[in-house]
Amino acid sequence: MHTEHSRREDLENAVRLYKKLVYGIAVHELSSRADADDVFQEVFLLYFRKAPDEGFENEQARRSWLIKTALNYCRRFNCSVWNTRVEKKDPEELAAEIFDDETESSIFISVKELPEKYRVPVYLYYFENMPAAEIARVLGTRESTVLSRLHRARKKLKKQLEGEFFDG
Amino acid sequence: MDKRNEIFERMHEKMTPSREAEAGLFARADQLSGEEDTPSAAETGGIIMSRTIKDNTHETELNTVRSRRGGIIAAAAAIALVIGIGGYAAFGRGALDTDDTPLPAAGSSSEEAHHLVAHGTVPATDDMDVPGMTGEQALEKAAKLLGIPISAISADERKTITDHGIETYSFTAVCNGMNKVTLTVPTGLITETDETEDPFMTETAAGQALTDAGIAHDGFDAMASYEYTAKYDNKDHSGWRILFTAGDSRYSYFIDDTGSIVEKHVTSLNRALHETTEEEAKEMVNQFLNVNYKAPAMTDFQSSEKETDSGVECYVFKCRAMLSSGDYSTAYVPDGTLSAFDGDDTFMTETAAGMALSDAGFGHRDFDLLTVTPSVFMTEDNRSLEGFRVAFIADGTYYFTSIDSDGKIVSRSILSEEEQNRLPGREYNYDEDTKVTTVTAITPEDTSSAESSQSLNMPAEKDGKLTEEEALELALYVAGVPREYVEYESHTIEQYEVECYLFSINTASSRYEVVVPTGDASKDREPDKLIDNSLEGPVPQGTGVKVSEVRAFAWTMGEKQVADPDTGGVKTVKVCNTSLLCKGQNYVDIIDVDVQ
Repeated sequence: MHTEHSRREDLENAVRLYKKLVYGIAVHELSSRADADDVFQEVFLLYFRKAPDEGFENEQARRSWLIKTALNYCRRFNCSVWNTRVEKKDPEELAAEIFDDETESSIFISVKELPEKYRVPVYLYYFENMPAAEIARVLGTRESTVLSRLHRARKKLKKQLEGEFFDG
Repeated sequence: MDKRNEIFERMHEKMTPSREAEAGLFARADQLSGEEDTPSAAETGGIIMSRTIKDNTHETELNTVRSRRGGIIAAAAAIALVIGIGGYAAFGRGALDTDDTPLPAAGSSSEEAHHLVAHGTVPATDDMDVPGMTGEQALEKAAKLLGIPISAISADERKTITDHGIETYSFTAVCNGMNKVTLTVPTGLITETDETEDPFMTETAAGQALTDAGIAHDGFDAMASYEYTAKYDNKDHSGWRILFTAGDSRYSYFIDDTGSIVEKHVTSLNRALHETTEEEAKEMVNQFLNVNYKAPAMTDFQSSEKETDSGVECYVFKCRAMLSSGDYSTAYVPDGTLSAFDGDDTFMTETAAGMALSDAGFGHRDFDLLTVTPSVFMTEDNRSLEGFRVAFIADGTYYFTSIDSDGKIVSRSILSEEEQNRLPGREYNYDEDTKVTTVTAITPEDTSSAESSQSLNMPAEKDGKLTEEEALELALYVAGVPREYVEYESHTIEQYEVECYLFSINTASSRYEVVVPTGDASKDREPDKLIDNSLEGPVPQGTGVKVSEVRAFAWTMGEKQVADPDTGGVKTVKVCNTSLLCKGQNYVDIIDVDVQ
């Protein structure tokens, strides 16, 4: 059973391990770093409040929970009345704030401009090194679906980017 | 690791949340540990904003967590930074070099920092020295005075600048879908200058507006300016809208690109609204909705409620002009009651109505009547957009604004006084005893309403057979067509098992078919027959109305444009617009039927 002290330690541990995962998802789904920071906070605060006392079944389960929660928060944010009213940054602008390398910026923009069903598997596969089977479990779909989406995403990305970054 | 993976690894390392977001997370988690009801970021904030405040001598980096709802919540680290250097004096007035100032670790903030994180307010401290004001205070002042809700402003950049000796905060903001609004708030600090010329006053639209209003450069309290295009006199006029407050007055100017003052409104910040009864409010709506119809002005009020939003109490009606085939509108009429403003004006921030008001330079308390109607617009590239048409009266002027469902302004127009005078006028006389409204249509060319007015009275119900003349009068009333515009043919039909007159009425632009039961019961065969589409031209089935219950019904074929989901554009559909006057009613039901 978690005490308050151990819950705090657990949060610190989760943040240390997965802050880039959650933030990376948010920054690909949203249009500003500030919004991504927002979602980052909300996801881990929810983790702090709602994570099971006895902990997750395994590390994979914890990671899966964080990914799904991050995606849900991003979707909710994108549909909010506020978000529909405020002028959004261009992906180029956002990329320039995060990456000082032109190639990195190009990759970020190209991935960000993919439709969500391709963008999320691409992010998890290439940036988080997650195997397709695990991506399928997280997203609640079949491994073959993930593989075919990765395949289609690669074709799109190859057209836009010079260099073979997204081979299988 | 190959080069390909190296890139993703590098990129992954760079995608990290800000220090302040992490610090804020742990601060909030610590709060949760101590309290049951810690506000969520949705309630208290969460937008991390990073900005640079410059003054003449120092550059200060300040990061705050800013609430969407208007309160300011500072991350523990940021507040500790500010408090550590003597409060908001750090806003450019103190000697501060942030590069070497360490940020405290999360959770080690002072008690005051915790207080700020929880409650989102800045407590005054004895050692705060604020000769002017802080950037946050300036923004809040601008929002309140100008009626632009602070929660709708996302400011990317804030600076203190000194212009002709007058220190101001200037924000570039996005507000309610309007791009690049510049907000300017004098801090109150004025330094001497040797400059005799003031280019702000002589070379800007804002300065021109101030000059016209007789306000000095340092005489206004807050100002907003943005590019603006409005349509009137059948052409587009581009320019600037300048909105500012000075003393108790709120000024709104529209200055076009040639420097002409096109529009000017002055309202009082303490404006007392006219007290209005429900009947008066309904009558205002009646006139407003029917202003384009050369026919009896009658409105179908589907519902009537009272609503208080942000301190303004309004009658809210779901209504539609009887002769309209469009959607029902929501009409707001303030009843004159104002109560305290709680600081969160969702009407202005989250509704098409509020956006239209803001766009035209008006606040929540400035309109006399406002309607919102769902609508479909065509874009220049022939796409259809769903959205809303907002129409309102403020300061004696009619404003019409189209807003799409994403909140972008599609078009604006203003009805000038001249154009208003070209609309047909109406005189209304409501008889309490008979519950009948008599409407007299007056055309603007008339020199005397008594000489050329057309009375469109609802004919009284009569037992027994109607003469053709009486039936015609009823037919014209139900069709909504003044007699002088018509040619007609008359027949007697028995298709409804009830003897009826059938009038085919032609006006300059339309053709109406009107059925009027003669009232001769001896000719009735099956008086219980429902109205059906036996005749040419469809008549709505399923109305549940029997011919014997009807005094008259009229229909005319028309067209309307609707969104086409297959092409993303619009398509034209034929409609049958039917007007139905039943026995015992003093209003006409309007029913629209799409014709396949």
